[in-house]
Amino acid sequence: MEAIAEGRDVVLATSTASGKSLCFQVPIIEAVLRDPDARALMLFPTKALGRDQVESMRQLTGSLPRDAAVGVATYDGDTPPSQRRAARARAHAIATNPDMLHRGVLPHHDAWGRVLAGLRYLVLDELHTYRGLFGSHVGNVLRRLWRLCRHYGARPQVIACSATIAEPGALAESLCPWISERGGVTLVDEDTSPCGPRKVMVVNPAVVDEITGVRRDYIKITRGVTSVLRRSGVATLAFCRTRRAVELLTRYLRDDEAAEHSGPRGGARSGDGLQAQQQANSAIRGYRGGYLPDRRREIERALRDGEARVVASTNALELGVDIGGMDAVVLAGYPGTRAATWQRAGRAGRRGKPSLAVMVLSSSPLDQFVGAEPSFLFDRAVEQARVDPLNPEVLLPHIRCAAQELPISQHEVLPGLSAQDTTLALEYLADRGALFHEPGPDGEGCYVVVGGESPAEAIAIRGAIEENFSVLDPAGEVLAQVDYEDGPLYLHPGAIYPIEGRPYEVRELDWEGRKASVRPVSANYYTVAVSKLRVRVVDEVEPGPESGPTHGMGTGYAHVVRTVPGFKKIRLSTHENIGFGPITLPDLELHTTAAYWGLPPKAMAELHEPAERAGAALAAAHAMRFVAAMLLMCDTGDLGHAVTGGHPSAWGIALSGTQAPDALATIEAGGYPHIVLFDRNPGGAGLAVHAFAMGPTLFDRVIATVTGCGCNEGCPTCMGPSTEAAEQYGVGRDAMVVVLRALREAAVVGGASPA
Amino acid sequence: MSLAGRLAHRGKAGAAKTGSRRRHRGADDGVVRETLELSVGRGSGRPAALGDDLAEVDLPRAAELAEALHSLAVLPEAGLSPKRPAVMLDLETTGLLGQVDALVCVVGATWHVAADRMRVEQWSLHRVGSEAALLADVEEVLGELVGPRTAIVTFNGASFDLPLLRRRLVRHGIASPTEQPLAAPHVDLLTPARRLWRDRGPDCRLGTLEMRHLQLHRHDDVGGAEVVELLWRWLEEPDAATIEDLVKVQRHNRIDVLSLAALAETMHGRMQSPIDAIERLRAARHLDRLQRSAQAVALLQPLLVSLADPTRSGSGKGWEVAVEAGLVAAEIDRREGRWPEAARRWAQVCRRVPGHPVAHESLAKHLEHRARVPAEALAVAAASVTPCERRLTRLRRKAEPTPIPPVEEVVATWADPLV
Repeated sequence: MEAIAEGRDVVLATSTASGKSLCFQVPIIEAVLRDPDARALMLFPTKALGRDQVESMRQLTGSLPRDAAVGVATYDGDTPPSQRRAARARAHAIATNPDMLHRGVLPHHDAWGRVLAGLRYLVLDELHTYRGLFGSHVGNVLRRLWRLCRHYGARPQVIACSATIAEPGALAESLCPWISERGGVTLVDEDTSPCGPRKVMVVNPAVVDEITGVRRDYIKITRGVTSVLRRSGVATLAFCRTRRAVELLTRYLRDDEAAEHSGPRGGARSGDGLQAQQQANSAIRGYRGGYLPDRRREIERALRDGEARVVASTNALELGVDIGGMDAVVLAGYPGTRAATWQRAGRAGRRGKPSLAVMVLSSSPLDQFVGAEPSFLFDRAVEQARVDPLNPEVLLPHIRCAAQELPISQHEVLPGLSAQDTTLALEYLADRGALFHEPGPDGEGCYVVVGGESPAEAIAIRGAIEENFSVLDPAGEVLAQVDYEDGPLYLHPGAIYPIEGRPYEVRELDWEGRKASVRPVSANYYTVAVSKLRVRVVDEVEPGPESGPTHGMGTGYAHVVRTVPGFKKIRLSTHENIGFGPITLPDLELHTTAAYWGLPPKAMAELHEPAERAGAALAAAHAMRFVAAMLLMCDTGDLGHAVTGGHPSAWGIALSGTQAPDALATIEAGGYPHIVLFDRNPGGAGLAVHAFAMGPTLFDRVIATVTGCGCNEGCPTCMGPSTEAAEQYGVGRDAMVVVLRALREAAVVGGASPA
Repeated sequence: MSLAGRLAHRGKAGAAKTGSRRRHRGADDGVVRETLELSVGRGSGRPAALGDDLAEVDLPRAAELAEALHSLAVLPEAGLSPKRPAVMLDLETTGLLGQVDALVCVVGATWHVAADRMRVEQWSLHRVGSEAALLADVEEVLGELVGPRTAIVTFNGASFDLPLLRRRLVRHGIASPTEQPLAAPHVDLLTPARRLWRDRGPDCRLGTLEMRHLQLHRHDDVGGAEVVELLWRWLEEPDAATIEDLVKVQRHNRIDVLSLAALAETMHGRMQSPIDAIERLRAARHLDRLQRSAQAVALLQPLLVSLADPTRSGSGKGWEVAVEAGLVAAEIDRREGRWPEAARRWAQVCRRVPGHPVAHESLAKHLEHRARVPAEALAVAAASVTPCERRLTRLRRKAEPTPIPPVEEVVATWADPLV
């Protein structure tokens, strides 16, 4: 608060429930009481978080006397038009999200003149979510915001709040580069919140098969661990990695609770049993994205009131949703990053009381790596969130938006860019007809957008937005929402779609209407859709013939197709496969940019076993993707990787780390494997292409990362977290290094030199 | 990697260069302002830049316009200046249908420079980046002209032209977001036009009204969507070929501002002497909303006379209009405390249309609370097509033991108190 009062830009990186919200709410209210024209813009990554904050801030402002009113309002896609006008005209603190700022505020900034001219504070809550490609877009939206603030004569102070990540200050400065011109950011990470001692336990399930090393199912162990806490009346949050796991765990825990309360002989049909089931249903809840907002609000309330004792959740509850204090957190599986682990573990701990975090490991190599070296969690710094707002694929379209917002004078320097880079980018756009350069009367020309279409509408800052699916019960009531990409996986006819542990069977899927009709059933199985990935690179550009032999590597446009041919039925509790059904639904297609590398002859000669080749290529692809993401400052989720058999211009079933290995794909890929890296957002963001352009530099870094790892023969850190390769193909680090060294050599010869 | 390096690489693998599209050099400062003057009388000829469309249209003299505007909108007490009562304003933008995010490309304004002469000032954009320069000049010129005694006259300007202009002024930093630039009384002609002619023609667009009421037929004119298309064509490549597109829009805009003045004058005339009963009723309602109730009642007189005639029956031609006129006049009388007159009109409506819910209820209330004749009130209330049970119960109690007179008698007495 002192730093804020001194007018400094501040990043708060303290634990959950340490009072971060008050740190921006109080200065905003103070500023408005001093000057009724003062305004604050509060940016939240999701609409729900914004609304929660508005609620909590209104409780604070509600106690003010009438003549000192401080208006707090939400401005998002769901705000009705009349309230939008009121928010612009009268609210002092406005909660919105990057999407709305990008499309609803900045292009119409003249309607926001009063707000922008009076802007005192810019609040960026949950700063750590602004990373990767999304973060790079947000950085550019903020660049445009800053330019307009300058235009209206305001220089707001930045107050950012972040969860535990490495170097949150650096993230704030890359998102708001003008901060560094103002003496840099002040980082507050000294946590004085009343936090008691926390015990962390890592549970590794027992090995059931000595030969394969398969361990007991981690969901079952999670059920056991959570039940101990449940019986002791400890308020517990169980974090699962997938939505399906949330549904399974909710159902298991309810069954356990009900069985105990209805006595050993009480069947589910008896009155006793019914009552016990109802009690269990209110004491144990599930929580995940896709539930309707009303249901989510109701579960949050039940948690705060203590009515719900145990909640199984996905990362949806990881963000700052207000649920009060919990005593224990159970993590079903390693969340994938140390940052997410501590973020979730931080959900436990009331004022000064001790808390417990239990992590139950799955059989996956990454989890087992954590099991072997639990110090991995404690000794190393949490991961850094990376953004690259200067990625041309992101930067250039946003400059067009800026020119539409206000013509860019040719002597103007855009915030966060050097004068030279500004000129470079403007001339680049003008040369391609995306901007027009207009001469001025005295050499003071400017760059403008010509044409009626809105440049902001053409940019989807969170990737493509397809209408999602609604899940309807027999009465036509909407029960839940499912993302477009997940539709074929969860809503194919015959699928069991559980909501808070209650199973519904999908009877019909109306693809065009984006509706799935379900009916409640009592099934003792759940369903898992099988998906297959096919990748093809078209219009490939190989480095020219002047640079020597290329060994089939290059860049181009990729056509990625995900097919869902069928689904498996898995019995509850035992998890045995009890049947299979076909699925006929449209494929999901992605057109994007990609880079590919054929396995060089040298590596082919050294690895004669086809399966070993395929596995080594897949492991190398994993490592390349993770290192490339680090070098390109994007999120690992922004890139995809696959290994195809033969030159990728022909269709081939691809191996990918996210699916169980496919026999046919393995055989194909074993012949002449090609590694493909592709951008995950439609149309591409230049990431894979840029990785290719790094040439030998990329491989140097990958090899250094892989060989520099302290493990014996390859671990998830060096071979990629979801690597099935090591387990399924028996490939060690040596084989992977053979591939990488050969690729490096080929890159040197091929002439894709570092630019 | 530097941005230069990344852009160079993007050039190789990404979107291809489409070839430079440097702009042609338009007018030096990107804005052209053109002035023309004309006499208000049609006989004196019209400037060639307007084409022939306006040749047969008379424009109001300054004092006539001032008077006309007073009967179209509520204006400040001091009244408009008889020398320069108003500036007629119209914008052509790149936005469609009320879309307020659009470039202002052509601004037309016209005002009186003498009792019988008008000047048409027009600004046109020759470069997208010069919108700020155009708006700054418009603001300066209009700011000098308009004020407490010189109104701004538009067609649909309340929801389109003025908010858009003000937002664009803010956008370019010409006006601060907290002030209200171009503060002056505003007459949006769409409002009285709708009051007078809603549902009495295909629509209430300016072009339609010109044809129906000004006998102004535009030749080779451009429609709304076409304007946007022409303007973009011009701005994308301002040269000798596309300037034809701009010229079409300019002509359209000049006719717009001048026909606003003519339309104001015509509407004023129709308010004074409506061409039929419906227009008479609507004009009276409009005047009543401008707080000119005396004028409104005077205008309704022919209809009220017909309503007062006991020999006419409810089914005669135009009875609905007469009944509505009676209710409007009764409402004015009630508001202004002329209770006997109000009661007479309600009773006349009850006589013409037995059971009319509004008239029966109003008359019953009057008889109960003002005239204090509960038995008569009960007769009237009970005869409504939608009687109110609570009122009936209360009146029965109050009326005891007086016998209830027949409703026809009560209505006849109150409808014709002089007889």
